[in-house]
Amino acid sequence: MATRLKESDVVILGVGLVGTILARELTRAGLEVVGLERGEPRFTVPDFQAPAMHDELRYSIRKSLMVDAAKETYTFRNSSAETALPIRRIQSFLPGSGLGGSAVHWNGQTWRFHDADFRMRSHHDQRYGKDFLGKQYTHQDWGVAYADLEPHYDRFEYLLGICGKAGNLQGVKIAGGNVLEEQRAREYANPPMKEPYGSAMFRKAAASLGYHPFPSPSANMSRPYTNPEGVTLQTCVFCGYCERYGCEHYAKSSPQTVLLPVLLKDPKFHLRTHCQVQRIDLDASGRRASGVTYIDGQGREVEQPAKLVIVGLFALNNARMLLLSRIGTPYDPATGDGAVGRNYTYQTLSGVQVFYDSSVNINPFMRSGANGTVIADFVGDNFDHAKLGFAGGAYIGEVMSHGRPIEFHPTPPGTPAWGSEWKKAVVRHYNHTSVVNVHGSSIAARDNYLDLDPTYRDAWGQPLLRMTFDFPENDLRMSAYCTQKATEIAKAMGARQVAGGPRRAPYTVTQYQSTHNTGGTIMGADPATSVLNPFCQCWDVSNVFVIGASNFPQNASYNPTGTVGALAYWAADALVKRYLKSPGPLV
Amino acid sequence: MKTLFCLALGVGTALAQTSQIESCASCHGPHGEGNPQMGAPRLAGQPQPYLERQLEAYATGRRYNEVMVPIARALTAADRAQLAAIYAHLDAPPTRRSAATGATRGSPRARKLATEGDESRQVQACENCHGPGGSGFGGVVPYLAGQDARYLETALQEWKQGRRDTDPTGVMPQIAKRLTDPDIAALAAYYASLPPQASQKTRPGASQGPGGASPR
Repeated sequence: MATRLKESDVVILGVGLVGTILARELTRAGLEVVGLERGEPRFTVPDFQAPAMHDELRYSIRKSLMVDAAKETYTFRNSSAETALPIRRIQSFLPGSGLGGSAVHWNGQTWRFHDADFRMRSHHDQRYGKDFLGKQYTHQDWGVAYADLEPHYDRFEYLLGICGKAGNLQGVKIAGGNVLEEQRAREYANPPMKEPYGSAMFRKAAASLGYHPFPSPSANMSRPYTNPEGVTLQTCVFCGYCERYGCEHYAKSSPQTVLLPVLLKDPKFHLRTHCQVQRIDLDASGRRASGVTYIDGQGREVEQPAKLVIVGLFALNNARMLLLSRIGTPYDPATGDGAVGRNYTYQTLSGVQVFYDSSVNINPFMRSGANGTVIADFVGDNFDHAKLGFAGGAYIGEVMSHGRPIEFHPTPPGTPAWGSEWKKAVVRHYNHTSVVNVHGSSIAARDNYLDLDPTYRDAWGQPLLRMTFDFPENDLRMSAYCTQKATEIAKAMGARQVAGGPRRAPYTVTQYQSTHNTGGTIMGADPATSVLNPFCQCWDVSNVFVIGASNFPQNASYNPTGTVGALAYWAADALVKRYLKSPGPLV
Repeated sequence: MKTLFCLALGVGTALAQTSQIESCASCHGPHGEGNPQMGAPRLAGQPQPYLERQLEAYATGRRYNEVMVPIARALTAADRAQLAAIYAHLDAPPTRRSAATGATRGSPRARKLATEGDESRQVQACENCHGPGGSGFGGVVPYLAGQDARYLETALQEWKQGRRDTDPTGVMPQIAKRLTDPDIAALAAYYASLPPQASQKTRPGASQGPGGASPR
């Protein structure tokens, strides 16, 4: 028998980046907001302090900040002909758990998508002709344009204090910045971080080949910064423990360092941790949410009624929550009908190792999560695809986030995988190897999707989310093309030897690739092919808003967080300015 | 080189006589152990790059001390580098005052600030950068353990009041501004009570000796 609590104006599922932004905007609008977080409360002090925070075995290998797969995980298969099995160890991607969500353990790479990304289908039709890729691809338009989101990107970047150099300031191209980016209203909040040696060699090589290198935008601070909320971040010291770690220096933007200090003082905000939301409850009509039901840390079932429900979980869990709550129609790959779970996409990554002589010291340990130099010449539709036979692209760059002792052991091809020869090779190459990353897009394909697993359940008895995914042929071609470009740049970096290759199928969940899971609750202008309208509001249940990378109809070349943040402010703006005045469908 | 050794160790030198510079040892002690009566810091075993940067800062105005400024200005850049190398490789016993308080481990508040920080003030642990037990870290982060209490308090106050500009990251002023005066006094007493560090030459991974100090 559930305990029924007093109705709140708003209940937010997940107190991560999206949850804290929405909570801040809605409490500011005068609403009472309950924030439900499945994990622990945690703060820079005492939870992220050194030397404990630099325990690589605990955090990188045993993944202490991630979801506990013994309680809750995903099942996976490469195609619907297979039987999916549970992922028993979290490896290929890293869903965070706990206050602040995955924005605690992220690297801090913060990008804006291109306008063509938001209009991928119509842009392709216009530039290359209808269905130039074939009918197996289901990429589509988002229902928003870059110009709609620009002020919200801006707000998000200033909240986080993103460090970078503008390359297109109100249409004026600025050398040294990303001249291929969409125009931005003002310069980044902070100057770029210092350029490491390997990145400098990449910059020179890329420029010599006619490309346009620029500093990677980072949420790792280049100087002390006080954001518009009055919260101050400190300067990054290049310790090399960003991804998979919390920052002990208040130098990486996360809910803890940009918003929670203000939000937690607001009497209208009520944080509840260790709350495992089971479902969004619907009223008898099935068209309106009445609140949520969760299991608290003591195992009690609690019903939290609310007028408005915001879903801001990890992308995969957004899709699962709608499926568990029977909101919207589940996607059926056989017919192509239904939208929840449709267009699940990922990120197509590869890399090239650049081996130098012993006289060249790369110092990989002296890095930071988003610190490096990249080019956008092969991003998205920044280059002509007419004769290439694929869509999408990748940013290419020297962005080595760390040189941690357990994880970073570069050895050239032909080195034994263990034993004394391997050890000698690691000693020889550790400080003399750079890596060029290829961070590629992911196109939506008819056969890749999310649904509820028919067999496996979590510790609370709820069906796990089932992932059915393999790399589409389009993305393998894209990776081959872009990785070849990266190899050419790497060769121009003065290396003794270059090694690497494109991403190859099948996708495996046992090797870390990227945490960028996208799609499943996609937004769009057509309710038949999308779950959310362009304001991130459920077409079917208008008092439920979903915000996250799950909203992306397909994934772009860049990291998703900047766009997730922009969508959060975009949705908050629509909520405060329009929805609260007249609750109901915004479209 | 020889004259600099003499300058450091205070055995009377031509340089000291001709340029009217007092020897370093007259304040910092014959072994670089510091002088609690004067609030002169312990230098023995501090990282060479750190010491060199401080001398540079006194010479260029980024750090002020009425005694140190004229001395640093009178030295050439090469002198400053060599002096820093000499002190980095000295070993010295604890001064009597710091040794005497070796048993006191400081107040609980100081220990918390040192090892854990204070979330309510957004202050991280001192040891994130200054190493476990305040042992220092790398070439530019000084040790705090066994340092003179009066000096540490003065230094933190300089950071707090914006009178010192030797941290290009801007982290130290941020932290010091968030510490109360009692916090600063407690931290100074805490670190002064910890045993001082061995010299650079006896630590693991140490460089070769004064002559081996490489230019930055």
